[in-house]
Amino acid sequence: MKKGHENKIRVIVGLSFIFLVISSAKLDSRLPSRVDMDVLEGITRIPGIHDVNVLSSAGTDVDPRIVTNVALGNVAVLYPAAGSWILRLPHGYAPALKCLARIGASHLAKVRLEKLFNIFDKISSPSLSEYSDNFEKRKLLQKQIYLLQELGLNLGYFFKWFAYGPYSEDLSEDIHEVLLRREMQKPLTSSKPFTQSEIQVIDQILQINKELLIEGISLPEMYEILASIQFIYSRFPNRFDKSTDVKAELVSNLLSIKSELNHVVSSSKDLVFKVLNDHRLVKIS
Amino acid sequence: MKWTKIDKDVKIYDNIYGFISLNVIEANILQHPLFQRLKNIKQLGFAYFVYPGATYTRFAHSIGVFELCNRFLSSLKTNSGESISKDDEKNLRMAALLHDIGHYPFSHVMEKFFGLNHELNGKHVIESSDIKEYLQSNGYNVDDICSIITGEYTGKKKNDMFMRQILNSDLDVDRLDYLLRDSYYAGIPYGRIDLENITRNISIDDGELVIERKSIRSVDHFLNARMAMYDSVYTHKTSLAFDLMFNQLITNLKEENAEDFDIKLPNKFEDLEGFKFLDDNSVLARIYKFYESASKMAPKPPSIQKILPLCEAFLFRIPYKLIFEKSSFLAREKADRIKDAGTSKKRAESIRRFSIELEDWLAKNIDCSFTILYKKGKPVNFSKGFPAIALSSDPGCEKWKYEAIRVINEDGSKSFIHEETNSILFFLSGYELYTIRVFYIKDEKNEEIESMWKKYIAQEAS
Repeated sequence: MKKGHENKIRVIVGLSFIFLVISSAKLDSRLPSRVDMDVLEGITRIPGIHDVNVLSSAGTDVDPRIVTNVALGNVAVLYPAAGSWILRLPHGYAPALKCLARIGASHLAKVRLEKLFNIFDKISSPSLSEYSDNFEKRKLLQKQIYLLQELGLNLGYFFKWFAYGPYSEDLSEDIHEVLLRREMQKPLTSSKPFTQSEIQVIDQILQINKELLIEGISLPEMYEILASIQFIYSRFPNRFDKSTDVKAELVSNLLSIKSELNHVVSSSKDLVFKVLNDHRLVKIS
Repeated sequence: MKWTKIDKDVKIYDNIYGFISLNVIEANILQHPLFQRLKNIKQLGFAYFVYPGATYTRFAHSIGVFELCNRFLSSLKTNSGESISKDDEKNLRMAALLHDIGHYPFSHVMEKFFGLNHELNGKHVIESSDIKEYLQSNGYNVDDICSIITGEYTGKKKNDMFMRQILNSDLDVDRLDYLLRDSYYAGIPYGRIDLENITRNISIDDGELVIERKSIRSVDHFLNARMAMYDSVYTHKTSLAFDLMFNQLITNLKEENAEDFDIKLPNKFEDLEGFKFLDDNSVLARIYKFYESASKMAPKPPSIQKILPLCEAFLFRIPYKLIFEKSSFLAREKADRIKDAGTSKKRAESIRRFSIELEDWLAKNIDCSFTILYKKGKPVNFSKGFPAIALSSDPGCEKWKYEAIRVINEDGSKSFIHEETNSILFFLSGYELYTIRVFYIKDEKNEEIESMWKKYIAQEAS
């Protein structure tokens, strides 16, 4: 294990693990930026974690599976993924994600509208009238931004569960404002440009756009299925018995609450699970 | 954290509903210091600066919501004939009791300061404290309880949307309780809704919450009551001015690193010790302490000079003045039932444009520490709105299927209330109240804002 000069991560040991993606925590040899510090501070606030030390290594040449085995046998596994870092935590630490979201939220509240404005430069942006008049376009944007957040580009939006999966009312209002500003040519100048890892997350979404193309099912619908499965599994990990076929259970859970997806799920589910797995959105064996 | 448990069921006398019964587990949750904390958090923030009686707390409201949840549950079972599992029932009761446990001092006033909504904070408080273990050891499902509170609940084996609709929809027990309670305490009669009619005629169909057709008029009245209460209490201009001033004050104090104002939310179990005393009283005490030392300082550093006028305005009741206000009902969807929907929607869009111009103009021209711009619920950054009629009828919004009110007929057919031509909501539901307000420390009309507004009106006409 390559050991840097800075820190280590210590987590109370657990039996199995869930995955946590940290994108803005760029744990490289440079001094952490303010956002990085916030995220790291967030990790310390996860119940069960006593302190966080940045496990320093130079960016890409980190051993992909660094195991930090600190005193008392406490274990965390940290390894780099495309544009992010993945921290494995003891099973049952779903609240950890929320903790991180919260730390990010207070810090990013000021810059999120600017970031959202700039995200529209990168992903295809509808005009305001297209957006207002087309429900599918609105649904697609909601799910794309939701997945951007889950992949680590944290804008601090809180997503509740509604008829088409995860949805944030604040985001809906903000998208409207951003599109209106674009139309009025009143740009929001960014006080905080995207970090390298955030750009990679956006690229990941563009990649997912391509990967989700499938005959007979529209992209917004594919995104709805993808985001919904990811939401259910990440928010309710305890609902599923790991010794059984979790994928089948997830699909049956989804269809029991969204029966209208019945005709599209069977033909799309393998692709959806592949994308979820490839992009480390959820890890289902 | 010291938590003195009791060993019997309790009855509490409530001024709205009379006796409310809690079983021993629920009673012990009441005993928890983090729940007792709600006794020191005013339900209506600074509304008592306008309505002197409006001082009741989240504690009373939480017990009231719990009681209404019980009444809903018993009607649902009687009216629908569907069975609700014992587990679902007890989880729902607990979610109702705990739904506001994450509230901050002065309720919604400090939400922006912390940047985290109270529901999510509530989930965190439950999961980080010994409440979680206590509930689990008594057979509760903490995931279900927390997700019902936050709105993340997805439904399990079948369609059980009602599980979240009871606490989180256009016709939920939270709203029913606060309208009645706010009316009682503020003395404003609009919120006196026909509770019996609604609680007795609520039912479940296909896992969804429905109300029987004969209650349409009560629902009409309830939704209109909510709008009237928003206007006259929740967003009353003076009470809102104090909310906004207070928020600005504590934000400034934090930014200037004033002692005691680096208030952080609890993130670990040990931090919750501090959180149990983070209430109205302790925050006010910090402000008094700051004022005492700052007012005696000589000479005063620039940061103190900046904050002191705002602090005095708050403490000695000198509300910021409303110097500009425009407000109108405009269409939010294009539907046949809405008169001139196209024109009306265009108008709504142009008000949004105006608010962006205004925001930029204020940032450039006015000392922001003495100005507060308010647009539809969110000061300064203009985004979120509150619907005038509070009815989720907009099919363009993903929320509506979960939140809109369903009516059930005797033959079992269902419709949404805004589709019912004998409901007043049929005519009103497509509209939203657009409001822009500018508050200023002095009562000084600003000609430039007026002329900007006139320019927008003229553009619209052309």
